Amino acid sequence: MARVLAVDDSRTMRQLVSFALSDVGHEVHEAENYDAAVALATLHQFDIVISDLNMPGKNGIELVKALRAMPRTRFVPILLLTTESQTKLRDEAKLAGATGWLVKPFQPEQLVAVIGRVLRV
Amino acid sequence: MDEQEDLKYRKRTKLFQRIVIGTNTLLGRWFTASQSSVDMLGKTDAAVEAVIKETESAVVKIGDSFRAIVKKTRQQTASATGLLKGHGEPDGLENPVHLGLQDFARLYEEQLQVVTTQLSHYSRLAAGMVEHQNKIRADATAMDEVINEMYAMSSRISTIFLDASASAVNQNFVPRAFISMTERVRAISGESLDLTRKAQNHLDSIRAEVSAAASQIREASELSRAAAERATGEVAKLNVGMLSKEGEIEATLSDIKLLGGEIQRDINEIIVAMQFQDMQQQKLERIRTANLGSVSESLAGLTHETRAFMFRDLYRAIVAYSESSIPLAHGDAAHESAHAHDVPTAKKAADGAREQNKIELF
Repeated sequence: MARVLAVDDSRTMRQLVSFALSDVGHEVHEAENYDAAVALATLHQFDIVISDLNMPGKNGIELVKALRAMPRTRFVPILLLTTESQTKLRDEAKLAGATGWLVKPFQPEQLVAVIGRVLRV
Repeated sequence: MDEQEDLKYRKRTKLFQRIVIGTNTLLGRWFTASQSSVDMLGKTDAAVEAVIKETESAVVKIGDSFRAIVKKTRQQTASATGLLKGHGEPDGLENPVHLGLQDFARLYEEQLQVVTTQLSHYSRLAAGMVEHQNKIRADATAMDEVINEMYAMSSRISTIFLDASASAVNQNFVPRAFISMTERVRAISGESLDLTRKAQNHLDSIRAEVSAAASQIREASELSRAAAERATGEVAKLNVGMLSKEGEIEATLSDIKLLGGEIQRDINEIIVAMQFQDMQQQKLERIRTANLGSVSESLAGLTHETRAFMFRDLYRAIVAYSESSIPLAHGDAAHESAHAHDVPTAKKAADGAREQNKIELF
């Protein structure tokens, strides 16, 4: 199955993403912020990144930009998981190179389905 | 009241007016700031209350979901246990429907044991049959030798008769030769008889062996048939039970599948509830940072201004008051104006005045 990088400053949220995806066989790695995510993405190859939008320090959109600038993650799908539903932010994320936008709270099966659709697994 | 006194009073009045106005303004700002703080704290409090309620609701939901999971897990366990133990006391093959899976397993094992025993007996019989067949093969080989010998004897007899005939023709009948020939034929006949007897014995032996083999085959066949019949009958009985069990198993599996789906839904609800809880916590954190932060900032600013007012205007007024009512030391009046904003100097002056117990602070 897929190697997933879950980025969220909330430990609970990271664990919930991990729980929902590990249950169907995905391998989930966790990062608590922008720096940790970039460091992990530099070291390891991921099939998909799921990131929170609002994080202390650099936010999810900045992470998308950073990952798009790295050769290893240039084409890796990135989903933003957030409570925000503003069109402006959505457009900004799209422009930065985000693959998708999921509004919290997510249903585990929806998250699994979206990942399946993005990765075509 | 002379002109100088009048000037002093005016100066005092003006200063006190400034103090009153300044204090009033400051109190007004304090009021506004505290009102704003109260409003913000009220909002924060309401948000905290909402968060607490939602968190409580989430926790209750989580608790309920976990309880549901535990209950359903117990149901599953009970179903599995019931299936394994059976719903009643096993009463043998007469009524296998009420047997549990363990009883079924035991009965199957017993039947398997019976069939295995019969098959090993059949196997021993088969080994015996092979032994008989080997003997028959050996006898047949011996028979072949006898027959070959008999053919050879016939050939010799023919040759002897041909020779004898030829001699009789050439010698125009020779009785001694014929006598000799007859003796030889008798001897050959004797050998032939022995061989025939041997052959007969071999044939008898073969017949006996074949007969024994046939008997054993019949026995084996009978045992096999009986075993097959028994097994068929018993398995058929067990199958009836198994068919019933199969239905039960199917129904139980269906229940388990259904419960599994429900458990999955419960877990999903837990995940969603926990997300709500997390979102509320983050919201609370943002409210705390934004509202309480700004309240704290405005209060800090106000404190700074109050302190500045006190050091600047109030002490200035006090100094001026003391100047007007008590003769100041030489040069103090000249310095008063220059050090109006010099707080330590003003403070020293105030402290000095307080030391003299000449000033009454309101």
